[in-house]
Amino acid sequence: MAPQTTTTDPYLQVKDLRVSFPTEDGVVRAVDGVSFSVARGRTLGIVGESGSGKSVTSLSIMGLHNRKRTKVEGQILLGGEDLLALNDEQVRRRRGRDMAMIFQDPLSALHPFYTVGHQIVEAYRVHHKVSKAQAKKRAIEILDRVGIPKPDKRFDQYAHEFSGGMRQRAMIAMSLINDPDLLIADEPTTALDVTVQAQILDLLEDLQREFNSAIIIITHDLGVVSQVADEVLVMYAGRVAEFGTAEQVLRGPQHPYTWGLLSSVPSLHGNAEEDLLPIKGNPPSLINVPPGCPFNPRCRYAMLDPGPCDTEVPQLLPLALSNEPGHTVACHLPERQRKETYENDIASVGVAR
Amino acid sequence: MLRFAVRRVLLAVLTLFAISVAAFSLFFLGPADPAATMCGSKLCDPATHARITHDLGLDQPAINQYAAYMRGVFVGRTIGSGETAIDCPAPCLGVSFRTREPVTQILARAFPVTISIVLGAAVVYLVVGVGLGMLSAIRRGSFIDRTAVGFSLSFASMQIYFLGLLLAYLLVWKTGLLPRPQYISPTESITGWMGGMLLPWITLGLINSAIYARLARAQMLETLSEDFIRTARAKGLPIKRVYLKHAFRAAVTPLVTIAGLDLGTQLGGVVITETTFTMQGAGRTAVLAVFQQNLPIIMATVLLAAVIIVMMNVIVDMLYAVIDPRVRLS
Repeated sequence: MAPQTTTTDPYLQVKDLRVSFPTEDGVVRAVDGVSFSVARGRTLGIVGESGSGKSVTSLSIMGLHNRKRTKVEGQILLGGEDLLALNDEQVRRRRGRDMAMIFQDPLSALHPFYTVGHQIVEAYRVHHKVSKAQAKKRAIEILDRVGIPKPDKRFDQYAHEFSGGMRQRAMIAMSLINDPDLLIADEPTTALDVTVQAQILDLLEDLQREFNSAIIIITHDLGVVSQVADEVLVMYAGRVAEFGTAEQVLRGPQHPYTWGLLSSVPSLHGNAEEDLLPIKGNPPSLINVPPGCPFNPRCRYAMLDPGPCDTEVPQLLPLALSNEPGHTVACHLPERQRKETYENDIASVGVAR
Repeated sequence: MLRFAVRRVLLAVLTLFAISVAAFSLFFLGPADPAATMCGSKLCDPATHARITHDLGLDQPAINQYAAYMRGVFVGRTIGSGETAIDCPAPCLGVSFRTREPVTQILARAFPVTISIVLGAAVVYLVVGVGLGMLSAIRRGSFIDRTAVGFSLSFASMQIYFLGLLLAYLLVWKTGLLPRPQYISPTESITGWMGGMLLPWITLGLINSAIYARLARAQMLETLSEDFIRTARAKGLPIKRVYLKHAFRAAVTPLVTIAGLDLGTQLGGVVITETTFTMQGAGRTAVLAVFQQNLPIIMATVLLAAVIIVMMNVIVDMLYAVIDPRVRLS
């Protein structure tokens, strides 16, 4: 595949995505007006706590949400085509071929009763009219490519006979066998040993260079983001809190929630316990999102009585004072105050230092 | 795999030995007096009573009686002495205290009836029950699902004799849609056998369908929420393939265990079904024997039921090792 060097639109463009599902207790607004784009060869990290809408976003892109119970609005342009305007069958044909996904726990994501090889061959043959022997040859090639030793033997083994890291490699092989242009990795390293995590991330970066695909990595691990992401999208309560390049967001974070995430990661320098500054409380219920800025009940710097943090939803706006093109943040705090607070309170704790 | 099989079979033999000892002790060391039964209860004179007791070997120590019984099972034996002696070839399970007919012959008559009922009904409930359950899980919340759940509830709360007699009245006596329920040996007439069996099959089949529909539905719902189903969809597989291949395979596996064990229990005798349709199967034979204190028949039915259940357990274990690759390692 020839890399697209022309300055066309990014391969994936998500525009004002809104995902909600009615429940007995009320309407859950899992994603509420999220926009972003990922170009081929680029990696977007989506960061947020559980329930921030990051997984729902990726499942909506893949069309894996329950169509009957979920209302999805906005646009998801994949190679210029709006996935939300297609029917089930049309989306299915793109799934696995143009866009693929790998999941958090590779043991439960692989079928326990079919061999790994069988499952990979199946993934290939859905989209390619080839014989079983040809598909097997291709599957063994890709198993070899993702760094699985003795791929011809491994082909006939079951998921439970693989180690955690090898399993995730097999999942990656399965998702890449059709050479998709978009790969979504939903917490791909969370279930793995720390020592294996870095290997898997290296592999993903490696394969991205080779296949020139657009990658979305969903994670709550800022270490993962700093290692692989080009751009970072921080999500909170189904909305974008902050967006920018990895450098911008990790080195000069603007949103108090991003500060919270950074200072919740223990640092290897100094006193790890004193440095930690966890975010108090829990993410809000997505049925009952707090008015104004959804983060205001947990924000140490919230401007309340009188507002605007609990009355007015902050817009995602570019920075006005610093010269950081592309860096946007949804926060009412004045930019100057944010800068000072960050330098005084945050930059000295946790991993931020 | 071979070691696995050998170990399971050895364990099964041990289990059967224990059951035979337990059953033997219970029945032969119990308070019942089979000699009195045989010689005609109260009218029996003490001399005849003593002779019969001796003939049956009941004056022997229990261990010798057990040995004689087991020898009979494997090589056959002669029961009694003189002109009342009965030759009982292997596998000898004793003779009926009432009719002096070898128990083996009685069982050879009764078990085909039970097997006919149980296997036919199993086809009904495995197809109807499991099919309905899986369908309603796939179409969760739909009209089909609600109908299936309603069906399960109503049939699960019905009794075999109620449903059986109701169906017999409606389908046989009132409309003549089905032939009269009766057991005709399949060696005699295969169509006659099927015709006579239809009603018991439908009755037992429907009632078990209700249970299997609920099991299958729950199992399928659980499977559908598994990560590997999401993976299968993420690969772009057509939804039918996801359901029929990935989900079905995973959901049906636990049902194999339940069905195998159920089948084992039922083959030991389905008393209520047999009684409802007045068919002389193993269950009814056993119950009658209990009322008549006909110990050899009780002993034989208990033992045979145990053999069947233990065998089904072994079969289920081995089958499981074949269908679930994760079991093979252990």
